[in-house]
Amino acid sequence: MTPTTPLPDLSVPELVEVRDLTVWYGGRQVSSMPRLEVRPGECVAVVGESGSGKSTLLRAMLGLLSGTPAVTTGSVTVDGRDVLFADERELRDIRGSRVALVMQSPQGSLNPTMRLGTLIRRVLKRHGVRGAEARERIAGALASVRLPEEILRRYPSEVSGGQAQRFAIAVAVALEVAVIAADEPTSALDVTVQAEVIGVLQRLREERGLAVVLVSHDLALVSTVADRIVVMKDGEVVDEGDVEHVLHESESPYTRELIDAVPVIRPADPEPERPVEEEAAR
Amino acid sequence: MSVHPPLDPAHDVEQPAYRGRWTRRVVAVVGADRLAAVGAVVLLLIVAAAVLAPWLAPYPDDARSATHSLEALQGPSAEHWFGTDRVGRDVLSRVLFGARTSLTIAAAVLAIAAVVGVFLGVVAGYAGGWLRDVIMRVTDVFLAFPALLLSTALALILGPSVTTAIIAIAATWWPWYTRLSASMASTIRGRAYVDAARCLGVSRGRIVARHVLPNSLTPVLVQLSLDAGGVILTAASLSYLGLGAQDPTAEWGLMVQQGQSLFSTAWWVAAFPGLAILVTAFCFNVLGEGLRDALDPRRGNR
Repeated sequence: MTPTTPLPDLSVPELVEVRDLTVWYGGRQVSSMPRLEVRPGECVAVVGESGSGKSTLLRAMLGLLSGTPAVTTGSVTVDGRDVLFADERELRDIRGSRVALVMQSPQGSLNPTMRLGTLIRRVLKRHGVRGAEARERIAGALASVRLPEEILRRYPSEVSGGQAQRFAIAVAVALEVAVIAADEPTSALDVTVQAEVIGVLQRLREERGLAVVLVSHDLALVSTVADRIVVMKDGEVVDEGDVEHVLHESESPYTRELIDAVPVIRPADPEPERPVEEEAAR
Repeated sequence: MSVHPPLDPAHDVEQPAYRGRWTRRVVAVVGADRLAAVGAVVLLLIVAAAVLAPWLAPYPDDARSATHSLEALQGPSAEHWFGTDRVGRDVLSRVLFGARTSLTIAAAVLAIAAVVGVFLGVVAGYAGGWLRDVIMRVTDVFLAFPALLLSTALALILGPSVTTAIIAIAATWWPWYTRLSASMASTIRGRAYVDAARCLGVSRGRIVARHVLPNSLTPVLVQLSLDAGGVILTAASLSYLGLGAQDPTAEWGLMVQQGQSLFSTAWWVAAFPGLAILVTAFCFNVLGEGLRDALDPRRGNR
């Protein structure tokens, strides 16, 4: 089996670098990550059940933990800039220009009182992109997620979940961020729409060299896109490695458990068992 | 190579169940709610009457300082549909001009209360922490202050007038809007789109102005409509107590007070302005309840 993308070029500096990150909440350790690097064009998936600390990791990456009761130690840098201890002004600068978040609830992450066009134009303006350049970037971003421009005139209540999620990705694309952090981007969508959204992320990696950090509980789904998988349980990393390794050679009992939990569709006539990722892509 | 099916933008313009803004929804639901629709229409007529008072009133001068002692206390007739008061002024003309005073007071009080109250409430609700505590405690102090006492004190200091009444009522009314919008804002603060905006580098001020505020306004709108009747009643009671509008200003509460002692002999002096208060307050209330039903998320498909 060949990897879905060429191996990352190790000479390129990491976009995201996590070192010895530990997050405590009310004296309890909720998430810990000894090390993680994400390079341009790479997709790293963090898999685990709810409460495993995977979303906390993502929030730490966006500097969303500062100003909350969470206590963090270690370091997280995005594009060489520290995000754990940066002040709000610096964080505002990094967010949306280097890294963008795609959230779980598709329509919920769009302000219901704002047309999609207004939303994307304002975000671009906030990052100093306006006029003809803004129009060009918006058109390009919509094309890359396969949304018609007509969608800009709509309110969030007037688009489907898959469209909303692709629009959220389009915002990140228009901002020309280097990293998309996606928190369960497909779990609120039905299966065919999930494949669409994953397909969009996949294409953006190939065409634009975007790095993706994908947090999900769905091992089958992430194994179709990820280069590397980190498995978390109870706030700790229990397994990590490239997709091959995690799917086929893992010795972690928890990972085996996750793999066995993936439902496999059995065709009527017996066929040699197919790899999990192809199943999930249907 | 992607293993995923290509996306075709053409097949993708699916139509969701509900299109359009809440304004359309309001028009649709209020339209279907007969009572609210009647309330809205009557209110429009009252507003029109207030605006057109100088042209509609048969004796516009009677709403000001004119007096006609010889025509005092005439009952309803062809010349004076609502009769005349103690100094011979046409009651119909004064009721029409009184609509201006009452609606102006209501609009001014609610504008002040809503702007001040919603601003503080949204800030308190979004910021949380000590700022919320400070704002909410100040709000509690104002809520604890009896409206009538404050109005009496203000009338003593500033002298009784329509302006005094507006200030006094607004000063005791804004805390309700602070409470309402603070609780809305603290709910909205946890919504995904607020987090999303933060994650795109939007500043706090913008988040409050463009995300928290517009999404907190629905219950405020309902409350404004429900409160308008109450404000008109309060303004009328202040005038009735001599703490608000002063003669010769045409104001419904004042007119009721002037006609009260004459009620057994000249009922029309107090009855028509009283009826005007009743109808206006009632219409605002049914409209407000209609709006509340229309915008209630538990009703309908939003």
